[in-house]
Amino acid sequence: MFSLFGSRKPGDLGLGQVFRLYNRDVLKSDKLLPNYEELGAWDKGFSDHYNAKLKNLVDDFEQKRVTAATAARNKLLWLTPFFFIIPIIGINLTIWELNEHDEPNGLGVIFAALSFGAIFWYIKRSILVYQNSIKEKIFPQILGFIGDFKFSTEVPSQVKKFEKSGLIPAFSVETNEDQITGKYKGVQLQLFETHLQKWKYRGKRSRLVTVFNGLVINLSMNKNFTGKTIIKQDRGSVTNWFGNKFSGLENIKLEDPKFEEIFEVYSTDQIEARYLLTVSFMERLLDLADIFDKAEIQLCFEDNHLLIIIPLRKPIFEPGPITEPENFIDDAQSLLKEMHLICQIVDILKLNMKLNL
Amino acid sequence: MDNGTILIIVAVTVTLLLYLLYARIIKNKNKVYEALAGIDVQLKNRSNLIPNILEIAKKFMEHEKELISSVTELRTKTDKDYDSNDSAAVKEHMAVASALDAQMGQLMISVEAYPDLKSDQTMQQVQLSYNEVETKIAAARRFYNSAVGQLNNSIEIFPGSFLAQYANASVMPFYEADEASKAPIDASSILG
Repeated sequence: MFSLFGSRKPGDLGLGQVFRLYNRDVLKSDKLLPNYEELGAWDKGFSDHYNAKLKNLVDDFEQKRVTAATAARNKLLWLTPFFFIIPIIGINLTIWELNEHDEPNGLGVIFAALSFGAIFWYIKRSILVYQNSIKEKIFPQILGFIGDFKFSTEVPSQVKKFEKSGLIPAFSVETNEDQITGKYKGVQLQLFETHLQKWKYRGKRSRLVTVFNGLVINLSMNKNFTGKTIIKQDRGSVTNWFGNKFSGLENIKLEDPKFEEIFEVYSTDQIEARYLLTVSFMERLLDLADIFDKAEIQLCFEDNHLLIIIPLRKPIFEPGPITEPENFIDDAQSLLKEMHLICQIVDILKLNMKLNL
Repeated sequence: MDNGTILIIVAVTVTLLLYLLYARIIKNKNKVYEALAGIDVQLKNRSNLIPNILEIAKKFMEHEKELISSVTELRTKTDKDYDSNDSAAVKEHMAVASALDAQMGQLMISVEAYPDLKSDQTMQQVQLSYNEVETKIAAARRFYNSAVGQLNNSIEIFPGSFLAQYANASVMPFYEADEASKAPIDASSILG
């Protein structure tokens, strides 16, 4: 069993990757020909696919990586003096502000934060261009091993259409990335990462607060249904009562005590909820909850589709670090592991079969 | 606070609690009726489907005349009106529906022995619809059992047992799968 939280190397996207660029070795290429080693059931047979579709692209992308890493490293080297100048200016600004104003606004801290942010973004831009080329050109090739999937980094705003499910919290700003669409075993699948933020006002000040960060998965269903059934995590009787008092849905009490311990079910139709949540389906959902480990998985059956939202602590579908020679092996392993997890939703819930069980 | 005031507060509280309990019993009772009606809707759907199945089956299943007539008889019995307030009548209605389940199950297994019938396009479609209705009946029965559980709990424990007579509520029977459904399935007879 693996979780969505442990599949990435730490610091892939953050400061760690930028500071590793000080090491000149990151510009060295691996002279050995890459060889994909299969690790488990989720990538069984991938080595042939790797040899046929990806191996011939390694040289080209390794050159691109070295070019991008060199550009980022050069930027880092000539901007290094600013790592000392900025704190000095920041401290002087703070001292000046404390002497001149009765109520300081933290000008020195704001200056330092904005300056470091701008430097970080400037260096990171070279890396991002390269990483996006991996996502756009290599990820679809990797996904081709599982099925007919499309991968896009630019994802239009679309969370509003899922709001009626009742699973999406109220939000003001939506940022989406990394959308995968396609069919797996006949089930239409759409998933993307989303970051939802809401304006919070405190006096005259306002700031954006994250209300949801995670994965939205929309799957077609083989069963016909007209109502709406949602499955939420059980948060205790009082919170459940307040949380759903005004949703217009009825609480559904199901027979499985283990299921009832983890989930709370609400529906417009008592019979339809049980038609969807058969005893076997409840057992499969418990298996799924186990696989997603600590993530609070929530589901909504509506309009013959199953919507699943899973909060994530950090983004998935990210390429490996630019500081290591490119061979797509870590990209393939991460992506296949993550997609295997998502395809397991279809397999475990048997969404591809019209079973009535 | 004098004794009179305390007495009034106690009386008001007790009356309020009794009223809430009474309201809960009524609510639970209505839920059982709703669930029972839900089962009947699905049984009606199945009942409407059975003549189509029998019509096709008759053409092929010459040796199953007894089974077919038994299904017809039970279907007529299931469609009969019954008093949903009378737990004995509800129990009997459920037993008849259950017997029809078993006979229909038997009929569906027998279909496997007639390759021409099994491969008949119309029969296959009707079987799919039948399975769908059966799943909905099972869901409706689960809702009914859940509603009956709540009602019976609320009227079997004092003071619910005392209030039940005023709410005109009585203990209702759970739906239980009949012996034929509980029996292990001989997969070899189906799979050949």
